[in-house]
Amino acid sequence: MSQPQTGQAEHKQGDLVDVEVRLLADLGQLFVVRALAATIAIRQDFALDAVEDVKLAVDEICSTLVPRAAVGEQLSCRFTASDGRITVLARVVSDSAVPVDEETFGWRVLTTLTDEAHSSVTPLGDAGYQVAIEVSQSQPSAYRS
Amino acid sequence: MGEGHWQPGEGGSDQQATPVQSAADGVAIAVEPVGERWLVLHVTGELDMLTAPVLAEQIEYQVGADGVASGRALVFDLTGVGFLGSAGLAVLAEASKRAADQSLPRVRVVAGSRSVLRPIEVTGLDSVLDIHPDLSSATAD
Repeated sequence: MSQPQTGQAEHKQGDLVDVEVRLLADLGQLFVVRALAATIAIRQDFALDAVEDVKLAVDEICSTLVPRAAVGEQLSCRFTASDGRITVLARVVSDSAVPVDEETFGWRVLTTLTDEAHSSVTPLGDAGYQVAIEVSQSQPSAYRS
Repeated sequence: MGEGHWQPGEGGSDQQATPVQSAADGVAIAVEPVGERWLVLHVTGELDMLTAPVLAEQIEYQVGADGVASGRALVFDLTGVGFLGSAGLAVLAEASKRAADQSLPRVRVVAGSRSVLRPIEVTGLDSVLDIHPDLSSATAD
């Protein structure tokens, strides 16, 4: 007996997603990440308002990190999703160890949109610092089909 | 960018004025006086951290030093906006605060799509902005 092909599995809410994109750390590139975020949220059966929330949150964390990136560096954005929950980890390499400002209008929007949001700064030795923001959002149970 | 702006005060009585554009990657803004009372900013594209400053700059230019656009109230037509991030929301909030500080009526926004209405609702800006479903409703009175 051969193993069932994963490609034959029925698509349903909760399908595992694990995608990482890397792009030039440039605000003009963020439409790509927003589009990917929306696609993943739709495939997780998020309601339409919740899809917009995911797009907003991803745009917010990437827009916060891109200006901090060292010249020529990339933005990394990893999406993991299963069971109606999406987690996004965005990272850049920066010359600065200054923590992410969590008192801004944008961060307040972020905490409104997400279940969890936190930032970190990790020394990378001579390479500088990795600045990361991770957020997770669940499909509100009231919307689940 | 000067030639791309509608000149405050010089088109006020010209109802046939053609909207003029200011544009950057990702966004275009056309400014159009409507009737005697309104100055409509038609925004097309995406309002994110990259493009929101284009709108902010256009507002500053139109309202000028006296804080009012030659006596006209600003109307933001966001019908053509596909994404509204926190930087764009902050520009709307600032315009709203300016109007309130000057005891002017609430800033009018034309918005019909979820991608514009949702961010406005999530941030509570729907309680300070005057939201209309279409331009004719926003400039009716």
